Amino acid sequence: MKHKGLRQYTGDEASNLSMNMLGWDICNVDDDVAVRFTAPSGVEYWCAIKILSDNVELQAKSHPDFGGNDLNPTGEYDHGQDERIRCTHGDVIYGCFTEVSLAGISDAANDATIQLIRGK
Amino acid sequence: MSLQEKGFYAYAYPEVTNILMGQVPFDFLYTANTTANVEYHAGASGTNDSNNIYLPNTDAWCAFKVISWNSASQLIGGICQARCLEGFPGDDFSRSGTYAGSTAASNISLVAGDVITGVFDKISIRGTAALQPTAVLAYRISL
Repeated sequence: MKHKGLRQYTGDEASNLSMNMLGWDICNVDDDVAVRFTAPSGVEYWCAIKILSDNVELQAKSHPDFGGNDLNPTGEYDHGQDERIRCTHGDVIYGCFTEVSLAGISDAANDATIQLIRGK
Repeated sequence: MSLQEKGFYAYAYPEVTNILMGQVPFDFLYTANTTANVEYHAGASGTNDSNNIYLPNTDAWCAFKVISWNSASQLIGGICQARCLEGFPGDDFSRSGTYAGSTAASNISLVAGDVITGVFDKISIRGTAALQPTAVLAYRISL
């Protein structure tokens, strides 16, 4: 019997494996000037941010129904402000985000690349 | 179900994807070519050459894992991009968001152990440097 991939799984496993099918948006910047990325049409929020390069700085705005703070040292998202969190390759931040402000560090030679996993 | 529950429900145990990987066959993708990407094509036939390898018996891949090593047998990263199967939501796995298998500017540098899940029909890899090839385990999915 051929393996039928993700669709064979049920219950909790299926819910987790569905992450494979959610789709994503990839955002890339090449210097330390923050760029704003918003969830595309039809995407209510991103449920995870995966960092794909070293030395990434970002902040993210939480969905208003999510509760709690935005992803930012101040607790409040503000694309124009300097305060951002710093992440490194492999970091995964789960949440419920509608907007991300992404920048590289001061070394312009390093791109900052992140993968935003789509929610429903 | 609340929005929070929906968001976290799907991601409560992200590492369970590794359980899936233990149960499905994989293709071993490898290149020592540091000057150009080598594209692996799932579900397609053609004549293999230095830049293209065809795997007609593989429908597509549901994940790939970087396991590159260098001449000192140390695990290292790899350089990859992948094209999502038509209908998959969102971007391709590419720095530009659009797969361009022979375009280095779209490559994403990954570290050893990285697992990228999705549904892919092309994976393009490139060696990181001389004597530092890129190796990827690409897990099959049947369509």
